[in-house]
Formats: sequence, C-alpha cells, structure tokens
Amino acid sequence: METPNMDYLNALAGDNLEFRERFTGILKSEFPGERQAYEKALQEGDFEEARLMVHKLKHKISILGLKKGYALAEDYEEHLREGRDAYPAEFGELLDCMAQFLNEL
Amino acid sequence: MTCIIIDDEAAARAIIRQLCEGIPDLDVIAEFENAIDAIKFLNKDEVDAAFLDIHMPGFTGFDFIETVRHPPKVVLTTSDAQFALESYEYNSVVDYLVKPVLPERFAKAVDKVRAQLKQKPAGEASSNAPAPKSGEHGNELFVNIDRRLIKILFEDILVIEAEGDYIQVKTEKEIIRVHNTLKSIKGKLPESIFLQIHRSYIINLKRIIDIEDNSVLIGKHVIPISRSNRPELMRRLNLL
Repeated sequence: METPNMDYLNALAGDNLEFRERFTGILKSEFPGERQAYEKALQEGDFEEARLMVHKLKHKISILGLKKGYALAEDYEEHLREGRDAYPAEFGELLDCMAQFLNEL
Repeated sequence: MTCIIIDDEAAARAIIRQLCEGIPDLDVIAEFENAIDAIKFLNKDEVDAAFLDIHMPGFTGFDFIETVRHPPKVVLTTSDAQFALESYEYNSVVDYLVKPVLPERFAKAVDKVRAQLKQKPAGEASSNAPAPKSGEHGNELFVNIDRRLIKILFEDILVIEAEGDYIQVKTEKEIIRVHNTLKSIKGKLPESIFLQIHRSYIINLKRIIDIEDNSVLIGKHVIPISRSNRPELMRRLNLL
C-alpha cells in the first residue's frame, strides 16, 4: 500500500510553522469523526450517508498524497451511489493507514 | 477585495484561508460551515467573492447560489470534476477548483474574479433567483413619484410599511415613499408573494430570512407579526 505524505501541506505551508501545526491539528481532530460517521452509516446500511462521508474523506486522502487511495475512493463512492458496498475491506485498510500516519504526526 | 469561505469541512476552510493569505489584496471577512449562515450574512453584508463548497449536508453550494439574492462572484471548490459544466450555468460562478486546491490554480481563480469585478461592480451582480411567473399583476408595480412613474419589481420589494397618509416601499437598495394606503397597494400585489402580517406592514414572503417569536427578519428589517395575522403566516410557510 502507498504511504501518506505531506507534500501538499509542505507546498501550502512553506515555512509557516504556525499554519502547519494548526492544519495538522485540524486533520487529526476531524478525521476520526468522519471515519466514525462513515462506518456508522455503513453498519446501518445507509449507503447515501456512507457515500457522502467517503466524499468528505476523499479530500483528506488527496491532501495526504494518496493517489491510488483517491482512485479507490472515487470508485467506492460511485458504487455506494448505486447502492453497492464493494470495497469495505480495502477502503478500511486505507483509513487505517491514514489514521496511523496522523497519529504519528 | 473581500471574500467569504463556505465549506462544512474545517480542513478545507483552513486551506482556502491559507491560500487567501497568500494574495495581498484579498481579505477573508468570514468563514461559514454551512450555506444558511452564509446567506444570512450576505443579506446584511456585501463581499466581492465567495469560495464555496458544492457538497454540504442539507443545503448544497448550488442551493446557496440559487437562494442568495445578490450573489458575490463565486469560486466553487469540490472534490469532483463532474459538476464543472453544471456550475457554469450560474452567472455568478467565475471558476471551479478541484480539491486539494493548488496555490497557482487558486491565484488564477482570484485573477478571474478580479477581472470580472472590473467588468461589473459587485453590487450590480445579477440575481440567480428565478424570475417570478407572470400573473395577473405582471412582475412589477409602477409608483408615481414627483410626476414620474417609477418601476419596482415585486421581487425587489422586501417590506411595505404604512406611515400616515404614505407608504414606504422598502427594497434592498432604497426606500420609496409614496402617497398611498396599505389597503390600496395590497390589491395591486400578488397574494402568492405578499402577505400583511401587521396592520402597518405587508411583507414579501420570499424574502423572509427567519422568524423568531413575534417578528420576521427580512433584509435588515425586523417586522412585528400581529397575533391575528400569525396563523395565516404560519399556514403560508413551507414548514418542515
């Protein structure tokens, strides 16, 4: 599996350490809630809500430079739109990878 | 140049704010995590531009564009490229940025906003709201002021207030004082849009921002609701 990176944040923040710190704080605090909301929706079979959460998570996937993960999320979003739960395991691994990366920041 | 940021995701708002700080003449006036709060803000304050997320729960970016009366120049931000074509159907949309937004691309979008603002001052931005359907009253009213007949579009009227032998027709841009009575003008207004909610006030139902206790907020005007007119007002609202 590809590894998350901070290339986008580096380009955005430059040497602005205050922004860098604030932004990583936002990612760390916002990601778990979005993941939880996604998993809850999936458990409840609410595919539309799950799709909306995948859409939101997709932004963070791209912020962390996960290109394959982004493509996976795009496919998954489309499957959820059609009411099909296609990649829960693979998508779950992606979220685990992001969670670990954010925890280590 | 002034702007607001509308996005339900805190990380997205932080990115746009950071990008704005990289543009010397661009001031972020406010951030909103939902479109409704942004609409309330824009009913009282003007800005040149709005960086607007399309996907927001409940009230989307497109809903925002269709609802806000005089929209600023809008730069849409989204994780999807699929809405690009649809977005340009709206006059106020200047550009469309796919997240995560890159600094160079953001600067181009701001340049586009700047160019459009030069073509047309922000206050003259055309409305995205659909024009009212023509009925027996047409879409406008002509009032006699100093021997001139002044046209007022129904959709522009917020409130009409009785003031002795005169009435005040209040729009967002001006207050027009006319020698007439509330009863007389009431007959000239389409009932589908206007409602008398107090012995001294007729309001445009489509311009209500919110209702609290015994008053209605329309534009910057807080209008009292009389007890006898309240049931009819509540009946006419599309309550959830």
